[in-house]
Amino acid sequence: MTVFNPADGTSDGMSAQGVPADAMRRLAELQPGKPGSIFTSDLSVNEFLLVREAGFRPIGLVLGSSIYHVGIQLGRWGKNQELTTLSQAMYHARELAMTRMEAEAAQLGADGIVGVRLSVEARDFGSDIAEFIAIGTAVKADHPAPGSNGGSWRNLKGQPFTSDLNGQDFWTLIRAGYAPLGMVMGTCVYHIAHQRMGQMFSNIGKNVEIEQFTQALYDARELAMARMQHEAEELRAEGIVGVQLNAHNHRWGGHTTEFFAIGTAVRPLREDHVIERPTMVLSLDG
Amino acid sequence: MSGDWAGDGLPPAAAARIAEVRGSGTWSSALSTGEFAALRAVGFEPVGQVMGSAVYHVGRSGRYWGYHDCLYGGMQYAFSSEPAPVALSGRGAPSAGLIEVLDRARRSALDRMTAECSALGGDGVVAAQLTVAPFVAQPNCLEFKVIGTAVRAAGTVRAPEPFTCHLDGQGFAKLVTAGWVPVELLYGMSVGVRHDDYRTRAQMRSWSNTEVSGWSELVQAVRSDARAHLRAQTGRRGGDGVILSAGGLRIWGESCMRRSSDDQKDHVAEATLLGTTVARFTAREEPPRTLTVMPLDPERRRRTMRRTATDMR
Repeated sequence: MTVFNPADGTSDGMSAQGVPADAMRRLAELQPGKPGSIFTSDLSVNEFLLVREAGFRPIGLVLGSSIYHVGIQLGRWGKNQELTTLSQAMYHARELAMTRMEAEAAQLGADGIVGVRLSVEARDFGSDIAEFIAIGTAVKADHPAPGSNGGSWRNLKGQPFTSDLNGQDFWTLIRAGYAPLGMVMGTCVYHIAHQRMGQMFSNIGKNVEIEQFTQALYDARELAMARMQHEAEELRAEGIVGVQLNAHNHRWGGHTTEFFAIGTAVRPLREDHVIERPTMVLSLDG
Repeated sequence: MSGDWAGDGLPPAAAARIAEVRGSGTWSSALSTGEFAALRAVGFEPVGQVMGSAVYHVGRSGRYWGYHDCLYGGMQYAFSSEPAPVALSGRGAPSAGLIEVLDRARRSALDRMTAECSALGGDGVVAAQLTVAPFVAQPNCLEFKVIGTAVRAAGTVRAPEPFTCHLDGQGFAKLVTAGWVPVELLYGMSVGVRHDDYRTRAQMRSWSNTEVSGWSELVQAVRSDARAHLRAQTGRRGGDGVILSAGGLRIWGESCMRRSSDDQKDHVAEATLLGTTVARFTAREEPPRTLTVMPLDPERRRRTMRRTATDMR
């Protein structure tokens, strides 16, 4: 740490001393600018700086949103089944939000969108209606992409790449020689059968597996993951990183659940995928 | 100390406190030890806690104020199929008046804070927190308050006008080290009103999957208008970019004020964005490169885990 001396000039040569003066000088030079020439980004300071260091410039906050009325479908009381109407709704609404966000980014001439958050918000719309929203920061690369893709960072469909990784993960990914292709997702809304009376009675006082429930959870998760896998294959991805598999109940009661898998599909930028060996740190503050 | 004050410059109590702090040389700050150390490391020192406040009477909803007029033209017919427009504050709808007064209130709070900062000889304010809360005694009065820590740069170069930013001490230090200086705290806001027209009502009650296209249009328009409002203000002092800190969207239904005879409704959406403009400068020295580290204590690792893409809010 530098010793601070407020009376000091800038010629001292201590590492931080010149910096505040440079910063203040910049403030003095500021011109009331054209509003159009300024980027916005909803990245945190850490993320902003890391994305810059990874060789990308933020060019604007982009978002897409869709307020969607989910149709009505009831599962049969005693049957394990996918509720296809609801699955389609969850898929379609998210797709709409993502597409609108990508369209905004494409309009800005972005190479990609980082730090995407995809969420469902019930808000005050009444039952069966929710807002599906995708928010991210559009970025443009300083240099063309290395590797086979003709220097383009965009994906096979010519769309900007999307990634739900935060700035830290994004930095590490690029460092390790991978580029994100796009967010891939799979969803499945599943109705889990209720137990029949006879079954319930025969299990009283016993600790047993309810195969029917186990199987239902398996079916639903496998469907969601298979759909995500399929999307990644369509993008010709090498793999998917940061997959999350979540279960959302939304407002459908205990037996109807959405299983939602989401991750970022990646492609290699070069052959080796080694990053410099991290330094171990042991924090002393608690 | 409570003489009459006409609203120009600092209130007498604030002016007295600033004079006292200035005279004694003892500073106060709300910075944590870590923030304090980070600031000093990049060559800034705190000069005092600064605050700006303004209480405004803001009437909002209701027929009398008329801010939430949906401007729907197809109202004279009971079953009009004419699509409803989005009445946006940024496009001169009646709600523009509301945005204007809220802007003015925030601006005066911020100006009072920077006035305190200048009086203390500071170059800028870090960790400025802007809050809007109903005044306790009279809920239709809102208090706009902004509070932060004034800092002063080492050296002889002074900022012509104090900078303001929402970033905490560490964030500010990281930014300055990497060659970016904060310029100004900005607040973008937009209000949009849209009548629930025939199509919207039909989509709401549908049995099948369908997008409620009118409402999508409403939130899309309001959010992009809030961004435009924020962007329009960046021209005031200039800069290279905006780092956003928080954004919000509220949406609610209100009975339509164009027609009280039946239960027609409007939806009102209000989007807000808070951010700080930053400007790039070239430091004489190469900024340090990021070092990859692997924390060895489990608590810290858990905290640095990635945020999830599917946060349910």
